[in-house]
Amino acid sequence: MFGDEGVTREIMGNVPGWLAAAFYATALAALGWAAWLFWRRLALHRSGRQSCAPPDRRPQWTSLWGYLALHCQLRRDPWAGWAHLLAFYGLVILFIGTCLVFLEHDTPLHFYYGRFYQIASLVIDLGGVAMLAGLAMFACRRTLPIAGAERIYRHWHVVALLALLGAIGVTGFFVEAARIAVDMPEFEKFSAVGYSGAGLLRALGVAGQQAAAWHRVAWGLHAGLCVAFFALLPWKFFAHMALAPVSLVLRRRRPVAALAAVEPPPESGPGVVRWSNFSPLDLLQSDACTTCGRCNAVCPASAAGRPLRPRDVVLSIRDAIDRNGAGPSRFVADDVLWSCTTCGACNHACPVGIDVYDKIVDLRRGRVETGAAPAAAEDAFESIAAEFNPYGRANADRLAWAQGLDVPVAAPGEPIELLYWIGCSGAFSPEGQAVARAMIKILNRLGVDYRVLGAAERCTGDPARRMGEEGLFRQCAARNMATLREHRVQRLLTHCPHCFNAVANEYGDLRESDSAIAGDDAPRDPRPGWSPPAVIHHTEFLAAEVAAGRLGAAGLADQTLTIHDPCYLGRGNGRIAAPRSVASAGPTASRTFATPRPARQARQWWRPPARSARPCWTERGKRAPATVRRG
Amino acid sequence: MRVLALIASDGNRLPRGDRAAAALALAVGEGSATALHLPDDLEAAVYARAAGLATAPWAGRLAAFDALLAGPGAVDRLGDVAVGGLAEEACGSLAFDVLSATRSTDGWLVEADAGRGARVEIAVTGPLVAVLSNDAPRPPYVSHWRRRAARIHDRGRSDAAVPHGDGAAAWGPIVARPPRQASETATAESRTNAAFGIAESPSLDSAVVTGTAAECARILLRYLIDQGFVASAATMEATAESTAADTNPLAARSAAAPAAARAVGASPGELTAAQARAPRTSGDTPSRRGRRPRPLVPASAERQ
Repeated sequence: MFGDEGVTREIMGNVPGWLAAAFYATALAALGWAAWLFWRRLALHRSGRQSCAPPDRRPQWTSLWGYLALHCQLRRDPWAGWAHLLAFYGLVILFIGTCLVFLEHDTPLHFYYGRFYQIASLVIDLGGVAMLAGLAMFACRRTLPIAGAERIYRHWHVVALLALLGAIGVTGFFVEAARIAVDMPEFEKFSAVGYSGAGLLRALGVAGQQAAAWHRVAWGLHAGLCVAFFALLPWKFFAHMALAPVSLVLRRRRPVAALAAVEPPPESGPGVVRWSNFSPLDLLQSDACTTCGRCNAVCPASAAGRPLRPRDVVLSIRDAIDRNGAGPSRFVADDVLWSCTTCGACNHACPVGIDVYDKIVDLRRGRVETGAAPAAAEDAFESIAAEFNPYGRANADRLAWAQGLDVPVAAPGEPIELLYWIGCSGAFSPEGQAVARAMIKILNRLGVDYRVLGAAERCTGDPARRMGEEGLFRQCAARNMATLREHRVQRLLTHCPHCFNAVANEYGDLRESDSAIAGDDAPRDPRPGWSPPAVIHHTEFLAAEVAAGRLGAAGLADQTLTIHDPCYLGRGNGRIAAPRSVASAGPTASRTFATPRPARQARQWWRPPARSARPCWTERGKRAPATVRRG
Repeated sequence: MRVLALIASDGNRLPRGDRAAAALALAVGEGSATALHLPDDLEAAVYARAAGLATAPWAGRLAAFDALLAGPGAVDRLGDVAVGGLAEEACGSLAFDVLSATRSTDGWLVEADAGRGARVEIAVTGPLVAVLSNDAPRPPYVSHWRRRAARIHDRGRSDAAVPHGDGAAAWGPIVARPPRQASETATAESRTNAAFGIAESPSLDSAVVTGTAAECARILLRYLIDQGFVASAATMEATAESTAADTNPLAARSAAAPAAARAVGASPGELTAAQARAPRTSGDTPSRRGRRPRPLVPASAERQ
């Protein structure tokens, strides 16, 4: 079917029977060993705490396609992405080629000859070259000052994998070269690398029986390395080859900014005190970490000199599993834990879908539940609990900023079609107050029928939840939901990305028990049949008004604008288009944008600390124009 | 050991001193501490249960105890004289503005805030009534999840009152509650004196004792006799000496002290129980002298 049956090679022809038997035996043993270790590890993962919350883990096969087949996320760092792509596809091709050889040798199938053999030989050789090229790029990245090299995880077991794969590739080519060098058949020219190597061996005087002897030695070495590779698959960095795709498929289907629902078993509280308090998925993700360090590179706390390194947090969890200590342990230091800004950049950057900041919040919950909250956080908790805002200001002063403005405050029980949710920063922070005042003027000018809650508005609980106070968040959320229900709010408009995220993504996880213990003063729902309001960010509202022609943006002409995507709006909830749409409204001839970025790539923007003389940089490494101002 | 914490919220939250009192009770009570809360103060009850304390509503009666740790919030609501009365009833020692208390071999070692950054360490034998300061070390945080769990657990459950001992007597505040501002600004010593009715306190108009040095000395001696520190036979002698002393009440007190020591049969060099609670003397080690409060008696008066 494939042409001349003489165009092939004798599989294991030069390998002694005892060596072949030893290879089969040790390979099977190594694979069994690896499977057993994987099973033990997965058993440890399964010992993690099961949540009572309904699971949201429908497999995400499309993510796997984008990650494995296209390397979309990995190629955000071009050098590392292409290196991984070459090594990955090279290894896959070599694996398939090896499978073909064994099918031919150990099954009744007969296909490995003629044109098929030549094409397969060429493709397998190219696969080997690709793998070695990828490994060489990784090696260069570790030794040369290439972009992204600063985040390399310099640990010997990472180098061990590179070295082992490299040795397998090199010995594979040597085996092929020695085999061809025995008699140098013409049709083996399709094995381009092997044939060239054979020519080199011939030039060095290695041919005939001597080449056959070299072939036997190289084959044994190559087989031994392959067996070692099988046995080491579940070990540390090697395990990512199996677990990373699983992690990606099982990742939570939520926006980056939305924390997963927390519903611990009744006999325990929320949060993590020991490693087994993590969920099975969290534990699996910690083993799936590829140590690529992208999370470290994008972490603003790390850039600001704080001790947080998200990758180290994940690896600390892995180490805690390795130690398997039963008692409480502080496997992540306090100052590391409380440095996180919960911006979600690490989650967004992780190529294998690890929810890093969810784990940090879980660890914070553990600290809070054991009474080890920092003083500043504790003060904020007490303010939220007593004054209903984290600023510690009297909640009755929530509308103090609105003096001189016509602000319609909702009467008790009044149905509200559009509620403008001011938020705590809008009520008490000078910057937020400026936004709130501007929005009130716009709403009044547009003649929109809206209401504000005034003193009845309370903190959404978002800061408390991010700092680990899950109970206080639920208390706030239950009270706010009761208030919204009392007014039968249809749409909720807010300019605060945190309030937006909390109400839109996290209030839906509340349960009846939360409402029941919200507090004696929580309004009760007198009218059932109400559904939670649609949450609109003010930029979306303004964009819609601009699009409808009811609002212009002439005042933006002749200005240089910098758009700073809020973490919880752009990266966290993917709302990127609306701010740009509003900023692009009206005459744009003389307007420039300092940081125009395509959709889905909104990232944070910071000035490096202690080096204020340096210009601002975007995260993608592009120097910002000199006229840029911080957003 | 029987350790009680008396705590109260201000309606919304527990003052830090009350939280510190609960935490300290939990720490020194070896797992058997009980928190007393006002009957209408659900917030304090929930907090205490979430912190790990047994709770009981305050009924104005107390069994014998080894230590009663009161929070400033509770004292604000009950008045300084309430804790004073409790100390008197239990024949115990009263200390205000307490920062910490630890068990010693024969009683308690109390660290109190003496003002202006100074701290005083007081050795106490017998029952202790300590009013925690709002500047006490920050207690472990009690999460709202725990409070929520305590609230859910409490549904349908009524608190059992603290079992009273045989010797418990009914007790209630005998003077009007002092304004909150006064208790916050007054020093620990003046509040203690006011609680026992042995010194002037502008904030306690109804409990003010106005009198000469002799009258003050008589009140002090009455207290000492009541506590068993001074035998009744010494009363007249001490009163006579104090009457002859300077009209300064502090001088009168220093004059009465040797007489009191003689009355209990102790030599001037031996330390009586009353003297053990007194501020450190110049004979103390430098480290202890360094922590002593500002001298209450002028040097000239001491020389007399």
